[in-house]
Amino acid sequence: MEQISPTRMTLLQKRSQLQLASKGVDLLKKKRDALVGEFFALVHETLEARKRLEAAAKDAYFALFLAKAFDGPEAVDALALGMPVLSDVEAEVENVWGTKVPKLIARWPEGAAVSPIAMGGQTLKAQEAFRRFAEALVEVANTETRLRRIGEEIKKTTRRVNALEQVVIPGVLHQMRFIKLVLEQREREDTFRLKRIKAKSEKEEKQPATA
Amino acid sequence: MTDDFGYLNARVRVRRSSLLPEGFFREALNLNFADFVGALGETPYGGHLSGDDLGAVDRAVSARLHEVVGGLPGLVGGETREAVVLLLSRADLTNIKTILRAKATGLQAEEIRTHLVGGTLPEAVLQAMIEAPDAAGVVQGLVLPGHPLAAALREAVAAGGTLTAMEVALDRAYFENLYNLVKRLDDAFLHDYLAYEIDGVNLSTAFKLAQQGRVEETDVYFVPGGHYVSQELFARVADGGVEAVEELVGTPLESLAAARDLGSLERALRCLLLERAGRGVFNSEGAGLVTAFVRAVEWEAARLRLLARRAYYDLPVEAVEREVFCS
Repeated sequence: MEQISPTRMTLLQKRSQLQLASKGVDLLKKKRDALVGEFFALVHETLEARKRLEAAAKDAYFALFLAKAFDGPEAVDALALGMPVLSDVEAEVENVWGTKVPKLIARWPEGAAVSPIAMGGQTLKAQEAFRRFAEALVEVANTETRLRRIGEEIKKTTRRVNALEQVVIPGVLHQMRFIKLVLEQREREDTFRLKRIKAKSEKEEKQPATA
Repeated sequence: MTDDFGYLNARVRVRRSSLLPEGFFREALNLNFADFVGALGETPYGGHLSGDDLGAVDRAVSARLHEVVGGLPGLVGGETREAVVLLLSRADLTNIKTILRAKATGLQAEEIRTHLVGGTLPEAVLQAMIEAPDAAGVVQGLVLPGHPLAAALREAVAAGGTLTAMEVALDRAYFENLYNLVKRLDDAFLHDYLAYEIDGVNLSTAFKLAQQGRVEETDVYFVPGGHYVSQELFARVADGGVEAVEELVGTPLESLAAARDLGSLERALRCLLLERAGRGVFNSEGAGLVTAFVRAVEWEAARLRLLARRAYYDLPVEAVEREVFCS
């Protein structure tokens, strides 16, 4: 235990430390509640995004295998040559209750970038289905990263609350109790000392009179 | 070399007997992948199977397709040969476009080869195009042997357009060239069949444009030469009015009138064209029999690839059944 000087000044300092820690606990609990709310709202969104990703993947691969069957695997693979995958990708940072959450914004090229005349319809469908798959993938990346970051922040905040509630505040209270005990003891000693002095001086005052 | 369909049709009749029976596809629909490969091994495809994975099946299908139809132009000469080349030339168009794409992405010659399909272009022409440094070099490779698509490609390259613009120019030139060739060949069956194909291409293109919402300058994508799909109908469908296909009720394209999306249109179109090509089996004096045979082999290849994938990925039968059979 840290060495503290049991004075009234220290007691006042510890009292204000206790108030600050209690206020911090309240704030952190509010932050944690808000993050938990955000987390649960995101869980649903993430599950939905996962479902959309799975459905998009299923559609995309089914469309691709139809395209390869009808238009030939070589021709379908060749169409992918020179096809721009992304026009642009940006990463924005959002602030969710003090937590930095990255968000990817992908932009896709407009149009099919191939002649629609002789291209097989299944290949076009596959191209579109894979675009939706890629969009769903970016959405899942965004929601799951957000969820993970918020989850980590909840853990961190819970650790802080626990540290304050179970270590810092009990420590300060203990110190305050110790200071109070010392101060009370000192007060009792002072009272006793004063009584003794008073008794002694009264005794001395009586003695010359009798002498 | 003989220049009549009599000899060619006699050879085609023999090859037709090696087409897989309908029962094979019914049975194959329910097989797992190992059993499917086993069953395929007992057919004429067995000689081309070099493994037991999906890639091996694809290679066997491509090799067999090339074996049975790739050699047909070599059996005849003159106009008969031109008619056969016409039926197989779609692969040439695909190969030219593949090489253009490969040039745009800087692909190496060996890699380009893996993306090429059969076709009728001589090896020397293909090699010249593959080794060309850029699109202008590809044009040179086509100009030298006097290929009909060379002029269109040269114009597109000179205009400095995008890869898509070059492909559109090539596609249009391809169908225009086919149409002119068919007119010159004076084969009633081929003329009729090609008109259906062009109608189908136009409808399919219009549905694609409608799906993509690409409505500006739709005329660029219209290919002349069809019978029943007018430019006006094409423009309306491309503009998003897919219900305009109902106008085809009462025409031989009636089976397409109920289509409201690209998938259902292509399914109906595939079956319609197969049925029209199939009528050619009775046309023993013209290009009908060879047309029916070439389309039947292509359909067989597509069905095998589809069934192989269903079995390989263990998909439910219902997922592919409607794609494999024309009711």
